[in-house]
Amino acid sequence: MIIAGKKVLYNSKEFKILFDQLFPSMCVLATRILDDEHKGKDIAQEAFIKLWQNPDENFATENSLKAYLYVLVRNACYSLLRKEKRITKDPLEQHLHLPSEKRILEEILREETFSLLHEAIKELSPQARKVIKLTLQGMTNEETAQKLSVSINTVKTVKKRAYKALREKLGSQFMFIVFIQLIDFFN
Amino acid sequence: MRLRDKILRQIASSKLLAKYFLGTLNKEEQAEMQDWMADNGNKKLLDELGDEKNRAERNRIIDSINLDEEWRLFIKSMEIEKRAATKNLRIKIYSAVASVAAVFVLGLMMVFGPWDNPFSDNELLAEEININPGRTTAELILPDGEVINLEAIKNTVVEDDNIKISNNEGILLYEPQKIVPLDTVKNILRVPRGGEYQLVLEDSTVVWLNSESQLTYPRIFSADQRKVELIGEAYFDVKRDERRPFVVVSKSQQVTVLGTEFDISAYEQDDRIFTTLVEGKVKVEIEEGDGQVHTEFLEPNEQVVYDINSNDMKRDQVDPYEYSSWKDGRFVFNNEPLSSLMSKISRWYDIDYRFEEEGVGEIRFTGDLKRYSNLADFLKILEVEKSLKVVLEEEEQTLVISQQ
Repeated sequence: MIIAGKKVLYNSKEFKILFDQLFPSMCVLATRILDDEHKGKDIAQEAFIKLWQNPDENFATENSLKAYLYVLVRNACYSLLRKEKRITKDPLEQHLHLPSEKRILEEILREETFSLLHEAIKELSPQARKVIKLTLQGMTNEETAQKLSVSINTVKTVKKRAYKALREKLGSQFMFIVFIQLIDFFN
Repeated sequence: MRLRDKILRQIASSKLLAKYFLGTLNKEEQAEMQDWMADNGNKKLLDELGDEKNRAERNRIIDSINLDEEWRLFIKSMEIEKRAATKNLRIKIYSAVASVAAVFVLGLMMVFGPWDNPFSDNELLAEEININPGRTTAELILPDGEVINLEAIKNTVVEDDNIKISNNEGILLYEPQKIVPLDTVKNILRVPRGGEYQLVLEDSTVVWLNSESQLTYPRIFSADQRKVELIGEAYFDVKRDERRPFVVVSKSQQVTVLGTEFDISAYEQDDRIFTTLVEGKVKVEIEEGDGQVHTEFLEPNEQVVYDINSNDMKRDQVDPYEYSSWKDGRFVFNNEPLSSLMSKISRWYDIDYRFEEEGVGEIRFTGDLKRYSNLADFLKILEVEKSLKVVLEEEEQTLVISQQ
């Protein structure tokens, strides 16, 4: 498989990095669609295995790989829901509602946004994390400063830092390429 | 539009939304955000995304994933798939049955197998703890409040008529462009827990800054003195300049030198300030509560410990290596109580700790250990030497130390 111009094997360190980055999001989507954590994990596994049924696939960026995996997760969820419907004899559930494309796209947007916020927050100190959490709850700088008994300037500095972490995260496609080259270098 | 392209568009929108929630949209992005909100149903979606409960629920799903276990399962399944793919169709049918069985057996092994963590309460034993040592990381804070992450930036950080500041390999270097006595701009170098950094000041003085420490200094020193402020611990190798004494202020203590090597430890949460002289001569002045100034002159291999609470000042002969070894990649402890030793360890490995019984903190330890090794290596030594038991409470990231 070629990802961002690099040949990647399924059992390589490079792919492990991608797996660690992408598996959680795939798991969240499937869990939300199926409303079942165990099935969610199974479906995410299935998507990653399906991904390698075409080992010659070429993904221009990490994001296009991610988009492809999301499609695989959706398909796997659909076929599981269809299969479960066939098994159940309950007449009330005979009429099958597969989640709409709109719902799937909303779930993906939700997961992507939460994942970015999580990445931006997790690098911060506990104090900074508190500031950002209050910001996310819609508090103004003044309210946040008052609530945590710190100065408004501290709140502003902390936000700036979170923004920086986020910006680094947004540049992650580029970072991934650099990372792969580094691994190559050490091997 | 294909579903894949629609998903890519959602991935792009998520960046906008994340910035919106962090309150860091610029003008252009604000307009984009307006457009996005005008779309049917997006306003409602935005409210949902802003709900703390939804984020917490998502994080709970993420926390329930054991990534290493999932990776192991993925590799196993891939190997089974691959084996199946190389055989002919007839065998493929058998191996499909076999692979179902194999996954089943594998599942059983995951539940009952020897590599499954037998400690269900999320405690790790000393040898299972995998916590890396600290690394070179710091932030440079400019007078306008801008914070520069030095880990992310390489080479030149600031360059103007007066000074060139460059950053390379964990060293921040100040080089004056010309002799300018009037540049009062102050910089702050802040090192987080689990970090360390090196700084070369404008006068070629070298400062090693330890974890959770902060130094405030002018970009260019004035003509009559070189004054810096320290919170935390730093080792100074001061360039000799008789015309401009070098002054380190920490809390109520002021240390004045001409050119020497010494270490100061003045942590906020510590009631004592340690000043240890390696070479040369230093003057230590302490402003006592009543405004009186107490002065001591230190000789090499001497240390002054000032107790802020009792206003007590103790001067002693010490092995300075014990107090400076951290900058050379060692942890040297000489009959040191665990309470003080663990506070150093916790700063470097960025981890909390707790003594389970009274008196454990009083136990004394002697040893010369590597600073850049995994925490488990040190904990194993501690356990064996002092008959202690150390476990990590994973949830809290807290080491619990008790007597065996």
